[in-house]
Amino acid sequence: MRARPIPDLDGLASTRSQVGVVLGTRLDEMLELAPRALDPCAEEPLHDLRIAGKRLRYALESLAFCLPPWSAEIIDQLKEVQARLGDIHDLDVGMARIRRELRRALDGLRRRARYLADHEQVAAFSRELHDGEASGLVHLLDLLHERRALRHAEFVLFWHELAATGFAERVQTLWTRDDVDAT
Amino acid sequence: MLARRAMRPAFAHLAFPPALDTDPRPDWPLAAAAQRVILGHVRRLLSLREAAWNADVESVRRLRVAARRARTALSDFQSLFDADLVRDARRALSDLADGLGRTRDLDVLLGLAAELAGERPDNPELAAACRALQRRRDRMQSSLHDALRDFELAGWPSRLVTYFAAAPLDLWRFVDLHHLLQSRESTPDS
Repeated sequence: MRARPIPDLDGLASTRSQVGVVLGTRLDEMLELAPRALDPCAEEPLHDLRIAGKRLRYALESLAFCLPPWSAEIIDQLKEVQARLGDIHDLDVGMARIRRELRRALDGLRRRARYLADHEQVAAFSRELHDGEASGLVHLLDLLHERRALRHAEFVLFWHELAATGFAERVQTLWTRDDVDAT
Repeated sequence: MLARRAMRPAFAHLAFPPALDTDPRPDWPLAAAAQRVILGHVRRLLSLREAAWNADVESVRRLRVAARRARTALSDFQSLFDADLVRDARRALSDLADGLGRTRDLDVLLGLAAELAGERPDNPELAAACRALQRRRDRMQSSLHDALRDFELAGWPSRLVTYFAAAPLDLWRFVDLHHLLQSRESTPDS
């Protein structure tokens, strides 16, 4: 997902005066993506939310010298969001890899099946079918699916709790309050 | 092809403007702060190249993070810089991070698979799956070297430093008056 452009920045204006433009854009980007990411079947929106959260966190860290000290709490909360989304993303990437490996393993099995049938070694083929890598990859895929469903359910709960604490409003006050100048 | 695989880049050491070692302040012009942020990530990235080439896992991870952070900062502040250069630099950083990340994704999967197989020690099929994934991982090691070498051969280290140290503001000549006055006040009269 491409980052939303931030036009009209004034390079010669003080950094303090431009912080809200950068951070506001990144916060909006993240909040708009959140509802779709709560769908347990949606891989892409979840990945997009993870990236958007990372962009907001990186921007907060880069511009921390213009923000009040309590911006560190917001950064910690974003790290928690990312850690949870990162775990789910790792599982999605892992399952996609297993599906690719499974296709290769099944192609190999088809070839072996023809060879072993020609040589009347049905018992050997049966063993390979049950204890071989294709069977293991299917089993692994099942286990990862199960873990992914659990992690996603935990994330949805966490996200609702975060929203209930007024997370978005607190991020906005980082640059709208009078005490934003950390120096 | 063999010669290309064996070729290790020189990893030249580049100089950075002194402004990078100065704490930024909210009244700095945004352009100076943005250049400092981007160059800071570039400096970190460049300092990790050799260790990453030697397949130090932590250096590879940190280099990927630095590349991602530099890319994000380029997106945040792109309207301050040359659009073509920002587009090309983002692509180069993305290719670098992707090349380094290919083995990382399989390492994560192998970790998960080993954990799940460890919980089920009497399961030969899971052990077979782990072995298949490990074979795939071993074959991908060269993508890390390819990514680092392509980044170097395209001249990105010096292009990034040369451009962002000089545009739009010349950071080599940038002086923070506040810091300058403070240092003068703290220096006793001779």
